[in-house]
Amino acid sequence: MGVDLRVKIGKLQLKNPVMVSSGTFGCGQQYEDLVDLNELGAIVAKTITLQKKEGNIPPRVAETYAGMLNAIGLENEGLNYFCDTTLKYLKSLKVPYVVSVAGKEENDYCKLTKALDKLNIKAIELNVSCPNVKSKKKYMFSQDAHAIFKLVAKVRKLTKATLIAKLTPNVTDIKEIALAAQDAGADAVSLVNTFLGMAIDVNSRKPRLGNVTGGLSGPAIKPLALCMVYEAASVLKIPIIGQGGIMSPEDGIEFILAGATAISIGTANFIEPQSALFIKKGIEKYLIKNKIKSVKQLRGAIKV
Amino acid sequence: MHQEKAKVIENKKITSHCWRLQLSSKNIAKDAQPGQFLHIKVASNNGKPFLRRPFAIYNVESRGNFSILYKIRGEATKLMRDLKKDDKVDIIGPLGNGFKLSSQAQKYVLVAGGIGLAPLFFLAKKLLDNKKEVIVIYGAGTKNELLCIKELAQFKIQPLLATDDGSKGIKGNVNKLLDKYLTNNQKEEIQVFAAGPKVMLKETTRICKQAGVDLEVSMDEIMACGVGVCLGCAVKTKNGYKLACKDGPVFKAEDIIWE
Repeated sequence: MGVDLRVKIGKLQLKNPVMVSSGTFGCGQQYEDLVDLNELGAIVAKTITLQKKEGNIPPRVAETYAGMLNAIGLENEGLNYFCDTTLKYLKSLKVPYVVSVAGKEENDYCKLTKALDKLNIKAIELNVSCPNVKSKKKYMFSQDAHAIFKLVAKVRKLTKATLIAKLTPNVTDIKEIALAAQDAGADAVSLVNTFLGMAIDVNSRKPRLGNVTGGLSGPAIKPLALCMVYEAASVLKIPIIGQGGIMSPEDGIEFILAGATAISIGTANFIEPQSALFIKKGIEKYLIKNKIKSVKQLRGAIKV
Repeated sequence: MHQEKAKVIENKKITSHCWRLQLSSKNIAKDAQPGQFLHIKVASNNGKPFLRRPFAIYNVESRGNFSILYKIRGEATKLMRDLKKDDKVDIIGPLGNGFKLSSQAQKYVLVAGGIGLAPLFFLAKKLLDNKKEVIVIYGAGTKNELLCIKELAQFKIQPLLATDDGSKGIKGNVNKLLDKYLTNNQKEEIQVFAAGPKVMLKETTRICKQAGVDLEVSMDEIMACGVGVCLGCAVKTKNGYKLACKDGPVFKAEDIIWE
């Protein structure tokens, strides 16, 4: 029995629900020797900004229990380099891709969106939740319902591309933030970005990250992320791309049962580059074993 | 770049803190170059240790065998001690850029501190295969921490030795020996390669700059992905941040901005 793994995120048709997260897979090229990229649900490319960004001072990563901290600082070559080189590679693939963008102020996101819209980019993820880059405000866009509404609404007017808002879990009420993104016209939300965290070397008494604080990812955050997806799914109409510490097919299925339409693999890629592919296979097996025809039937099918 | 389940040929304790792990994978052995590294999955997919661990390639032997050296430092290396013959180890590699030889050099001086010997041993072997003149300057804390002296002797290499406590070779560090060597051999075209602790490499850089000699250093940084996607292993250089995993781990010493 064949099972239907197809899902839709906005206008983006994915042949399976397993994506790879921004900043954990480059543009795919770095893994082309090891992973059949065209088997992925979609690739979310490393976040770009208008201008080249140097990134944070090292150390930028630190291993913690069942996870890792990172404070990369959105190092990237900037919009022009992306359009001239990275984009050509992404376009050569037979897999849907999402361009992730970040900025310090609304206008940065607008400029990036306009430029990408001209190039017929089909999907844009607004990274409004990087914990390692200071925006002009004290908080991230996705920590304030009013700010995220204003930003998404402005960007929405500039493109018909599928618009995904990637949200931070560092909020009091994820439902309020996710609803604001939906109301402003987002086609989907990515839940969640990393949790703000830190670690200290007791011998040197120095923080283990040059940036002092960073974002925590990996299985350590999975129950927290899952809960946020579950809460958001209870109020949202738009699809959720669930992510946060997914390492196994079971982890992925949990997110779908909690209400995610698609899932995205992040930190697991560093340990096992083929994570997304074996998770996809595992989900397929689960569907067959449980005689479920389509992965869509699994969405939100948690029995409470 | 390959991802292979390499078979353990031998896992042997060589000093009180260091082990040599010999593995087998034809693809990795065929492509490996001195200075490159392997990203090794040590345990489970979760918990601790969590991420892969990078190790410099110490040697490529015959029949698709290759080796790394590892020092017991934390959870991952403690687990590695338990590897037995015929166990499988998940490896991504060979990764990164290795040492680049200057064709003008008449002599190649290899400066190793502690476990930093690993990539330089492989380089020494390659240089000797190509009939080059190789000088190895090697240092460790004590006589008992010096690695693979017998193996070096098999290649007829008698390293200039230094130990912190003077139990073997001169009392002091490798930079003292290097400084003296460069002073005594000023007329020759020399290229230096170094691997070891950062404090050592910083001083090696100063000495080589003063002597007007080319130096390449292997940088040991904390890594997550190992392939250039996470941008975690940043090294500060005169041309901005570079990645130890992708742009390195071997860098021109003159490009590095030392803290």
